Amino acid sequence: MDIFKGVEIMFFWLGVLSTLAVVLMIYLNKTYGFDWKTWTMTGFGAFLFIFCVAWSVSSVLEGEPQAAALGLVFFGSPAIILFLLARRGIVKKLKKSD
Amino acid sequence: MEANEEKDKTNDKKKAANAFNRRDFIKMGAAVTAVGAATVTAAQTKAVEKLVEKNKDANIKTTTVDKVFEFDETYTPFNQKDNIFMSTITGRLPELQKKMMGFHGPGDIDPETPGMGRLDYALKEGAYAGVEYMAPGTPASIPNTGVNSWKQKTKEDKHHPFDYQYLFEDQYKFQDKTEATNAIKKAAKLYGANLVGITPRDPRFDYAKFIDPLHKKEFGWEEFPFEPKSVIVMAFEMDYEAYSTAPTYVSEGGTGDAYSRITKTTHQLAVFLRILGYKAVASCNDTGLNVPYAISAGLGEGSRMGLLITPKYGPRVRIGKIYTEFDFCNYDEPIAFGVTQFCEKCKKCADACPANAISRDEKRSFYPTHDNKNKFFNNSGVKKWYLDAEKCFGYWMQINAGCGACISACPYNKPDFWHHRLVDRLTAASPGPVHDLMREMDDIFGYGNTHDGEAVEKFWANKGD
Repeated sequence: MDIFKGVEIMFFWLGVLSTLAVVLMIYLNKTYGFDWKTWTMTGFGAFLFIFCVAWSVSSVLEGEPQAAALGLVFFGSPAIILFLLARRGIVKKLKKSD
Repeated sequence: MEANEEKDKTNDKKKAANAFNRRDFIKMGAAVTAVGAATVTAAQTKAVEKLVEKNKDANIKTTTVDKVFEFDETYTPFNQKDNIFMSTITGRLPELQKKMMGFHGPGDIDPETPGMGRLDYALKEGAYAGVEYMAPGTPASIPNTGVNSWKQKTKEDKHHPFDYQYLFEDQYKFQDKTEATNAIKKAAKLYGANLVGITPRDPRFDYAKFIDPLHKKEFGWEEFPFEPKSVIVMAFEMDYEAYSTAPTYVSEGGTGDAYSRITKTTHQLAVFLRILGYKAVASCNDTGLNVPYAISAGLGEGSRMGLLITPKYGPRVRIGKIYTEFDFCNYDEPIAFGVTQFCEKCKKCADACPANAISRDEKRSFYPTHDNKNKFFNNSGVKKWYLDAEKCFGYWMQINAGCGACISACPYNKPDFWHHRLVDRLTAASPGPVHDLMREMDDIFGYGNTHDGEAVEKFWANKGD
């Protein structure tokens, strides 16, 4: 039965992805202790990453592959950069506490 | 040992001081969302307030419609014989009339050009079949034809014993205006309209006089069977994939299909009203001007290319309407969502127009500024961007099909997906320089291509399910 197809399935998986992102951030916070900068970077990075997935999948569904590819570049790259910056901050902090 | 414990405690305190706890995180998220929503709403409210304030300054009556239309003292209602279709058919533009011979016919089928082959031609003709059977000529503005007849069928005109689709003598009484408005809109949607709005009849938007192009006979409103009080305006989406191929027979298939649906739906709604006991006449491009009626019925805003831009489908709609004597309803109000401001900067339709018929002026004006500004088909005296209809229609004759490149190129022409609505809202809430950026981004992201052979392949390659 074609009850769920296309955009409905995408939003279901976006919900799963958002929940996983929040759980992961809480877990990492407990493990490494986020400061406000790390929270901002991981939070905004997770938002951009999920937005990137949503944009690109939607563009594929509407039949615009160029928009999907550009979505990955415009929203995916900053998300990765933010995650890397957050990671660097945590590593620095861990080194200091050692 | 004690020193180490002390160090750990100090670290824990620092950690606690630096840590951004869950409550703070939620608070921050809520604050950001609230500020964002407030900014968008405030900007939209401001845009509407600005329009109202501007018109107050210009000393224009503050009726609902006058919030968005600015007329000068020279404006007179347009005459149907002056529009580009009628003036070409009746020979007032002889060059165009010569080219018009065989227009829409199979003579120019070209298997070598994408979208102009036999298959594409068949698609287009099939799409127009509904309107050509039910109300021939209405897309070209011919009134009082087929099911759009002005005649109000009575009991005496029954076609067969079970034909009850005539004007009932007693009028159904609604409890209140809201119930009536909801009922009309619900029926219109059931019959196939994508957007519906109701507005008072405004003689400024009606043709002053009509013409029967076959007999070159002119007639006026005295032949209309009743005094219309309201106009129910409906917009019908045209297929996105078909329009991505513009200008081709495939994109015109999208147009023709919308016309066929308009004819079906407006006829059904007219019958609905007549059975309730109220006189009604269905209309497509005839009898009155669709775009101003659609704007005043709150379906969208006017644009640089002269077409209606709706929030949901952009310019990718065709419009139909019903003239009725029924007026016990809540009238819709015009809406503003930043189209005029965006069009001032964008000009993508003007760039895409193969006939160079769309104005490049930044601001709207009361009079046309194009090469054919002194010709009769301009309907001047109202503030808008004026299209050079002779150039536009001349290109249709050249390719033997309706064009639609401007519709395809417009950044508001997007499939009905959430991310486009988000971008539209952000654009409406942003200042001018952002509009330039949005236009560029539209190109970079690959939207709005015209004369795109691949789009034709894509249209036919997709499974029809």
